[in-house]
Amino acid sequence: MTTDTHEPNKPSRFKYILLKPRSAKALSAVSIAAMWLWFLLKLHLTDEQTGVQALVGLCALIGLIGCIVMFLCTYNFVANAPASQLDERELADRNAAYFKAYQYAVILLLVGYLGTDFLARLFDFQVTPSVTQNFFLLGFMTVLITPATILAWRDEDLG
Amino acid sequence: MVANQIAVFRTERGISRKDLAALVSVNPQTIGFLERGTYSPSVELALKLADVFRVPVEALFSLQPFPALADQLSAAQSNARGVSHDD
Repeated sequence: MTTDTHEPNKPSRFKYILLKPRSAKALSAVSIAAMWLWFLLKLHLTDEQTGVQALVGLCALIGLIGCIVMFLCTYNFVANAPASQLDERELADRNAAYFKAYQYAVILLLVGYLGTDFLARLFDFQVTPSVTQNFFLLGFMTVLITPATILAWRDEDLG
Repeated sequence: MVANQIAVFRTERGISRKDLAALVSVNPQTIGFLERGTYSPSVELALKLADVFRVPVEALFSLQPFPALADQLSAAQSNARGVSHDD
């Protein structure tokens, strides 16, 4: 691991939304929770439940906007920047974040394969192509921001 | 975790975190992580930091916690008194 090629304060960082650790932690938690809530509520949604439909829509909106903001924040810069723009601590943090993201993706696929089938039997619904599509959207959006989320949660608030 | 005296040396030399970071080619945040002891540097970075302060690396880093600055001063004063009595 080398630090020679690091160039601090590269202008490219300023293209990203600067979030403080506390804000990034809150935003990532809300976004991921909203995406999961959207997916789980939608599994059991019927046409008559207008109140729940509104809640499902709200969850989707919060989740998607939150994920997009997280994707555009500085933590995602660290997650996706070329190695030459990061120092050794940032590279070590990123390695750890991607390892955790990989674990999350594997668990998500396992939950998607076994968990959805189990829930379908428990709550008596069909695993339709629409449910599978929703699951892929949930997986895509949450896995997309997982490295940035983990980097934010590993960062420290300095007051 | 490796203990270090980066903050002590940096303050003594009047170098800002940003300047020190530039001297050793890291992000200024990394200096903060090092000073708080939440990140242990690579051998390369430890040697670069020791080189900036022109001290041996073991004066800057240790596997044991460094004594508090007040204790170090007190010990140094006691030693100085001991030397002057001997003279």
